[in-house]
Amino acid sequence: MFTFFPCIATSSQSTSHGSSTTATKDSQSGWFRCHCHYLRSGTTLPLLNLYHSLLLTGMPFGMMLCMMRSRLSILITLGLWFLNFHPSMNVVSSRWVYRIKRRVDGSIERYKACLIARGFTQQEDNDYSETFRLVIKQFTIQLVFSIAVSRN
Amino acid sequence: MKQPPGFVDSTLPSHVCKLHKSLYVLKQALRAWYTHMSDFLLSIGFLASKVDTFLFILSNGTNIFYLLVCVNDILLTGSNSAMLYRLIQLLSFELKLRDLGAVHYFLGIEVQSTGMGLMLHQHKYILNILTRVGMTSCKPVDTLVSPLKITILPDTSFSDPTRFRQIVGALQYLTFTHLDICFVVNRVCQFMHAPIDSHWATIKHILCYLNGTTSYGFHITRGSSFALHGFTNVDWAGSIDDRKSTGGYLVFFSQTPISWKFGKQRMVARSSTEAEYTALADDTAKVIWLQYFLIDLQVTLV
Repeated sequence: MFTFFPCIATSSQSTSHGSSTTATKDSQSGWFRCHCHYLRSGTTLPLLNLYHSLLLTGMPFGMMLCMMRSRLSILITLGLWFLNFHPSMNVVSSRWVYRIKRRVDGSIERYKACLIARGFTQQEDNDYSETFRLVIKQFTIQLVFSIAVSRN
Repeated sequence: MKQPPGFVDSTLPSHVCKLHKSLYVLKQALRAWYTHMSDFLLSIGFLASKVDTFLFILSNGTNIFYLLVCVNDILLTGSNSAMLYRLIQLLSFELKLRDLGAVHYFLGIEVQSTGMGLMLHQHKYILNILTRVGMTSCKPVDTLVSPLKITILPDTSFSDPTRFRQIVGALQYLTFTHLDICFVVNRVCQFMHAPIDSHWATIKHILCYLNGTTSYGFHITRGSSFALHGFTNVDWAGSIDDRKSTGGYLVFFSQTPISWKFGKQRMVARSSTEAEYTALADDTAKVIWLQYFLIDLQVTLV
């Protein structure tokens, strides 16, 4: 059933590639998106050189790899997907994002890597119809707080 | 979904992943999470509130617990602390969660407990907005600009409307604890489609005001009895652009204001009485809505 395993080449063959590697940081959430040629293309993930990964995300590349692997194994254990033939429909793409969780004093608590789907590549009506979002009503919070205070 | 970048199966490179569950940022993700969450909560005896989708209530005669779910922030309160602790343990079996103790930061709102009750303020959020605009060192002002002066004027249109809309949107969330800027923000919102330079100046003025009042907040005090009180007021034909009236209401629960709205009325009133009645109708509708909500919360009004 789970024929899908990450295959990662451990050679550093591609460090000489002249491709552009950039990372952008979302200022609100603190997540890094790595727009990396090596990550995006190819069937293998060659080792980025340490310099690049550290410079871009502040995360050592070995750690990035380790986090991606553990994340992937969780997703596979959850039975998130099965490999299938390429159907003739819209195929959504995905991205890895990275984040370093820090404690209040600035020391590193843990590294995180997360696989996210690119929701905007979904097509309305084909992939989804109505969307749902939890919306907070202001008075709910105030009322609950108020009751909690009044009743200690 | 395409195979994850960097982890493409070398033997089957042209295959794709057929998703059986939802993944982050898919349009279905929030719905899937909510269904999962609510199914679990209902299975352990919680009741979903009919009025608000993100409130769950558990009651067993003597004790009552309220649970607010906001995507991945959960706020739990109840009348029995020992049972509350057990409930948290029960939740942590199903959901991977961390108990952060007493509430101090929820959805960008800081909560401080005082001797009299709770103080809600958005100090950090205001500083974030000021940093975004680059106005952290602006000179604080004591008064807000008069909302009546914010009108359609023959002025040059503001060069960056997107920025304008972003800041106004951010200010709108701030009305959660800053009732005083509620009306002026509502007024500025009316020009979102075509902001002009003087509107941007107003925003700056609001920000200067906020810089001086970052610690202002919303004090929830202990009330002696549970009662709802509504107040309304109108300014007939107050808007000089279209002569619509300005109206507002404020609903108190016990001694705490819980619901309010200050802004332009939707219809043109031909007399001040008509404007007053419109505001009264809005207020009454809100009070009735809150009454239903309190029934859900199993609170009896006195």
